[in-house]
Amino acid sequence: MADPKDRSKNPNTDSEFARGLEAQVKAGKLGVDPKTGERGNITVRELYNQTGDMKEAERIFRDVARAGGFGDVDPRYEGGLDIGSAARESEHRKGLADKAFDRFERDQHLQESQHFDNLNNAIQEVLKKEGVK
Amino acid sequence: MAGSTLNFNTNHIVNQYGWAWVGLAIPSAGARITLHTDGTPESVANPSAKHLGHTSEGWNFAATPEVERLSVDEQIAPVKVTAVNMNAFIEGNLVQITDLSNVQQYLVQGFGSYSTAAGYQQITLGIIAVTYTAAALIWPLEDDATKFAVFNLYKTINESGLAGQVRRRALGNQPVRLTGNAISSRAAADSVGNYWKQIA
Repeated sequence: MADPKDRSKNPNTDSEFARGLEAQVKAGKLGVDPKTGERGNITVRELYNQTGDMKEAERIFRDVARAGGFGDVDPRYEGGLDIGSAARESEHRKGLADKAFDRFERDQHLQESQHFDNLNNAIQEVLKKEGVK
Repeated sequence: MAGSTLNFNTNHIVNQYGWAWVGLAIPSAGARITLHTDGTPESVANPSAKHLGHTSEGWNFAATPEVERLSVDEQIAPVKVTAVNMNAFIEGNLVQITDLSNVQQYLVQGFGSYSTAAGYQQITLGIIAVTYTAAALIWPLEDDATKFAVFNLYKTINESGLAGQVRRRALGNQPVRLTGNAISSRAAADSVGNYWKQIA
């Protein structure tokens, strides 16, 4: 069997797939905005990369999903959670409130904006508490 | 008294091709997936998004309820209708049927495992745990090509499996039917998916 360090002969590292994936893992930037450094996506895979513990990774993932209203998402799902969606929706509803037709519509939008703001705060609290970058 | 306004509006027709994606991130209940300005899923929020490529005839989408009509003895017609099931799907015929790494590996949930090494890509067939995927059909609007409509299902599985055609006189194609399921413990009104469009 080829020495794992001999990359030119090891099929596990000498492939386009392996090189691409390794580059992403090394950069540690999957799901993180390269300009702002803000995390926009979370997966169990990324959590495992940070914690090294699969049980912990799944637990944190479930906590984020529960806090953010994502539902009972399978931890194996590699698409992950769009954790920026609640904050974005909160801003969007504020914008709608500004353009509201009447007081009823405005107050509805403001209420919804607050709801999404609460969800976003809950998500960020979990991430901060667990030390997720 | 004045009449009412007719709603004939050709700006709301669809006469355009769309893009189907899988591997999307799931948005918070009530929110929507994040799109880039070009209509593709934004890559920070959706780092695992995969485009399914060309089709032979475009895409179909639907969300149709199965209803149960409840009657009472005193009335001739049902008095109540209850939605007991929903059939939601995105379907089409793919033509990139040898694109194993970018397309096929995401359509063999529950029975196919993808692997690759020097010299090959393969999908092995057997029994494995089902992993669902979030899918979306995205297309530009008729009245503004910089704005997009999205039909997004949060938890889908391809019920058409792996099937292809090898032929010389026509394009080989593979039927795909991504059927939507509900994510439990998510807000009941937003457990399956959403259908939305961007506006000014």
